[in-house]
Amino acid sequence: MTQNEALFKSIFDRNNRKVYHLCYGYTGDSDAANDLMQETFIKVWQNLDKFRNQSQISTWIYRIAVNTCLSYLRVEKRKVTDEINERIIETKADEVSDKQEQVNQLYKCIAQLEENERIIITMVLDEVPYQEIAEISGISEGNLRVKIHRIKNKLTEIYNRHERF
Amino acid sequence: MKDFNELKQLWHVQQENEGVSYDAILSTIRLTKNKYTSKLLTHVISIVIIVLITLYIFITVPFYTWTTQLSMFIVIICLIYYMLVQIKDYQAINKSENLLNKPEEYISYLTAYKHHRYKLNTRNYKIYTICLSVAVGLYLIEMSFYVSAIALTIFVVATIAWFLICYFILMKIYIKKESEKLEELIGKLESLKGQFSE
Repeated sequence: MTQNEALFKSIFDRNNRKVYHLCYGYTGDSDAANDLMQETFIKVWQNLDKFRNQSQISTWIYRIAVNTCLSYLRVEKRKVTDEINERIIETKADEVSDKQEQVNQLYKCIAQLEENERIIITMVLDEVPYQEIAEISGISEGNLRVKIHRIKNKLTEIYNRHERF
Repeated sequence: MKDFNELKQLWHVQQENEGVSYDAILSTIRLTKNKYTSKLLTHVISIVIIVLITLYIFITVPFYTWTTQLSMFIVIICLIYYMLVQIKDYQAINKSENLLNKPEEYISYLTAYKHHRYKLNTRNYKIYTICLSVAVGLYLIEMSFYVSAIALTIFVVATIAWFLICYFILMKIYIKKESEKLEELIGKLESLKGQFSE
């Protein structure tokens, strides 16, 4: 394994879970999330030389992941995969655990938020410090706190509305 | 009814994603790199072959007029220019400092990039059609030495008709489609940018 590959592996192992959560929250579709996660790490690999001497690696990875998500503009493709995903979820419903089903539902609810809200709330759920979220999203910490409060309420409301049905 | 803390607890019991592994990503990187390299190589080899064939024709075929050589030269320049632009563009979007910018700045960059692509595609299409018309026109001078006046007239009329169709119908359709696509993208990017503004 080369030095670059070793560095890349350690970056991947430490960050893939959070990046996947972010991508899944953004798209509301696990297949698209895997595609975006893959795209993110390919970009990480391509820009590995720029990472040297960066102190906060998670901020760096998150920036790439967020920007990769933002450039995900394939609207038509997404509609199709959403439909397929719905069907897959329906047919696999018995196979997945009740908890996982609730998690899938939670992702679907996150996908109903606005794009910046999806990004922010997945980071909040993954317990990324507010200061880092502010740094990643380019929003001031004060403004971010207000936003987070509003998004939490919105998400809880959407989730409970879905749970009732 | 769940409150946010319960949603947070739920979040932490989710299964690990096993969709993409480190090895899979690394092999995709290698595969993409190889695919891109071989694509690039195919492009370069094709261009080199065309240039060599043209050079051979230049040297061995006794043309009546220099305008034929000029027409060949124009087509080759177009091909090389197109190839260089594609390579430069591919590298710009994948290995870019902009990727590490704040979302608001990155969206501005994406918007500018889409505008640039649109201009490049539509302008290049125009330039390509014009260059090809000039090249064919120059070659027609050579043809006039070989074919009869009637055959030449038919060829000229057919060529002009084809370029008129390209310029006034096909190009208009293409530009309209590209512009609609651009507007949709810009609309989405503007709305995203608004979300990240203070």
